[in-house]
Parts: sequence; structure tokens; C-alpha cells
Amino acid sequence: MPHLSDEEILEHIQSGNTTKQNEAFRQLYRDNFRKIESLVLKNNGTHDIAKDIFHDGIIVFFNKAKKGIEMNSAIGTYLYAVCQNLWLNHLRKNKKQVPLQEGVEPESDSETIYDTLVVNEKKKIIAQLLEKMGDDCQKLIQLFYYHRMKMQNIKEVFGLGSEQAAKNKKSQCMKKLRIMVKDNANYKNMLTG
Amino acid sequence: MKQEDFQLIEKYLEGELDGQALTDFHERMEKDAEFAEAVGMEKDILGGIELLGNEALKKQLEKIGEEEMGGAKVIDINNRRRKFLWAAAAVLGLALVAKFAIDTSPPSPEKLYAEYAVHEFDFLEKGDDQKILGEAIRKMEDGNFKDALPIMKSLSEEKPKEQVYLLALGICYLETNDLTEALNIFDNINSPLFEWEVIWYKALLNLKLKNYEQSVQLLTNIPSDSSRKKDADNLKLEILKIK
Repeated sequence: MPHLSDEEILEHIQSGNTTKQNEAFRQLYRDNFRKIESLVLKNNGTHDIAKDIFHDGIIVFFNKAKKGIEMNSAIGTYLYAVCQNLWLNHLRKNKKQVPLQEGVEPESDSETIYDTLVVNEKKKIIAQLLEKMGDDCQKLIQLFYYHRMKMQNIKEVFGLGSEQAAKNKKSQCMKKLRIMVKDNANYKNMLTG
Repeated sequence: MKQEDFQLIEKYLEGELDGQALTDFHERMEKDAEFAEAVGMEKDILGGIELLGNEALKKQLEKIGEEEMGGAKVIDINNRRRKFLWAAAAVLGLALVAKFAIDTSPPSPEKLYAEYAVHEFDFLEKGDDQKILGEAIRKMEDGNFKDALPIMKSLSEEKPKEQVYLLALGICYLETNDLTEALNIFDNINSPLFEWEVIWYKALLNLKLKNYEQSVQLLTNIPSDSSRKKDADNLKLEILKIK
């Protein structure tokens, strides 16, 4: 497999083509994993933690790169910085967890923490609903929204006659998902608090 | 809500609206509760899609990792990464260590320092720094900390965020017996990555100063999951013999 330059990695990711995206992920793995593993092992982390940190770092990079946001540094440098931050957060979280004494307010803004928890919970509910949808709808939604696959390619993946047919199918799937979300008791509870 | 409304909301959530379109959108959100609710739900839906996508991607990366790295759990020391391991004992000579090993009398702080001051840290390749860093490493490997010191000083001034350079500089000061400056440098390292290394070196510094209690206290603070723990326990026992 030819070595991809940074520019080609970005092109592969932004192509929305999952095969090309996988090629980019392989290149990122080959070029960067050992460095991240070294960073984590150096401070008594494990191989498995290094892998988790690296995978999370690639996900952060992917979600940024696929939107076409301009990178100000080499991909390796960016990925290293992201993983370094993720690793430091991991260390902070695992350092010392002092139980709160009764009547002592936490320093953080509890309202913000609550809001974040609610947002995360809502995302989980929707992810579960999405999993319950038919395979086609779930796949189409993921390809279009997550991988940013173009309608032209979606048409081919699903063997549809035209791009318009692909757009219509996407609209139907999203409509179905919205109804499922709106009718979901757990989601409604989250809205009313 | 019409299909066009959802398309508009998607554009908003993707940050594709600006100028008047964005102002109009905000005004509509303020006036139209149903529309505002739809925006909130659409945001949640896109968040849910991203969450599921991230989970699927993570599984995919697991697979790619196994295929690319063959599940290896050992780091290769290759040409992209240089590991520097140097024992201060080498400078004093192996004979001294051997003598110390069979000596039943309480060890001197100098001997203990010589045995335990093993410097191990990784320098990742840093592009332009590589040549100059290589020079510093060679000098340190030769035990020439005096000449390595100005190079590490210059590198750490150029790249203050590279705390591994700062750690190496602190070690250079420690080895050349500029203990005040060494302590000053160690105090300035704040990365959790080097938290226990800094404590370890402060313990060695206090050993050099013959502040045995302080040294023992610092060694006691090194946690059980640190790679220095075993050495810390052994060194502590040796220091207690001096006391």
C-alpha cells in the first residue's frame, strides 16, 4: 500500500468513502501508534490504555478532519497533542478521588455537570433508537451524517436509481427516527427534567 | 415542521448559516417555540448519530490495530525513537559498585547515589531538534553532563513545553552538583507525566545534600504503581542504614 501524505490522508477522510477512510486510518496507525504507546507506557500506563487513548485521539481527529476544518500542524503533531491531552485527563481522573464530605459543595458548577450528563444521556437514548432501526436506515444515516458519504456514492451502495431516490430514502429514515425519538418516554423525561 | 425546516436546522447545526440567514434563524428560534424544540431535538439526534458512529469506529480501529500491529505489546526501539539509559555508576567504575556490593558497612551517600542515579527517559524525534539533541545524548552517555548542560538549557528554553528537556536539564545540574539550580528546575516541571520522576530526583538530590529524612519522606511518596517503586523502597532501606 503506498504511503499517504498528510494531504492525501485528509482527502481520503473528506471523500466520505469508507474504504478510503480505512486506508487513512491504517496509515495513521502505522505512523503514530508507537509514539502514543511510548508516551503512555512511560508513565506506567498499559498497552490497552495506550490503545484506547490512541483510538479516541483518531476519533477526535476524524470528527474534525471530515468537516474540512483546516489543520494548522502536521497530522502526526496534532494527533500526538490530542492524545497527550487525553492521557493527561486520564491521569487526572485516576489520580485521587476524594469523597465529598456532607454539606460540602463541589467546586465545579453542578448545573453545568448536570446539563452535560443530560446531553450525554439523550445522545445514548438516540444511539440506542438508531440501533433499533432497520439496517438500511441505520447504515444510510451513518454513512451520510457520520462518514459524510456523498449522495452519489450512497445511491451506489444501496443500488438506488438516482441521487434523488437516495435523498428521499434519507429523508424517510430521518423522519422515522424523529418520530421514534419524539415518542420515546425516556427522551421525553430528559426534556422535562 | 416541513422538510425545508429540517434542512435549514441541519445547515445551522453544521455552522453553514451566516449573516442575515443566521440572524433570521435566531429570531425564529426566539419567537417559535415549536421550531426551537425541533432545533434542540435535531441537535440531540446528530449527537446520537455521532456517538454511535464513534463506537463503531472504535471497533473498526481495534480491528485495524490488530492487523497493522499484530497485537504486539512490546515497544520496539527503532530509529524514530531513542531511548537513553545511563547509569551514573559507569562513571565511578564498576569496581566501585562491586566493592560496595560486598561491603557490609553502612553505605555512603555518594555510593548510594552512584548506584541509584540511573537516568532513563525517552526522547521522541523532534525534527530540527534531532541533531542537537543527539549531541546532548552522546555527551550524557559519556557522562559528560557539564557539556550536555548548555545544550539541554538551550533546547528547554526554545521548547519550554517539552518537559522531558527540562527533566534532562535538571539531571545535568544534579550531576554537575549545582543542586540549587537542579531543585529550581525540578520545581518547574508540572506535567503529571513526570510527577514521580521529579519526586525520585528530588529524593536523590536530598541524598546528595545528606538530608536523609527528607529523602526518605520523598521516596515514601512514590506510589506502588510507579516504575521507580522498587528502587525507591530499596534506596529507602539503604538510607535508613546510614541514619
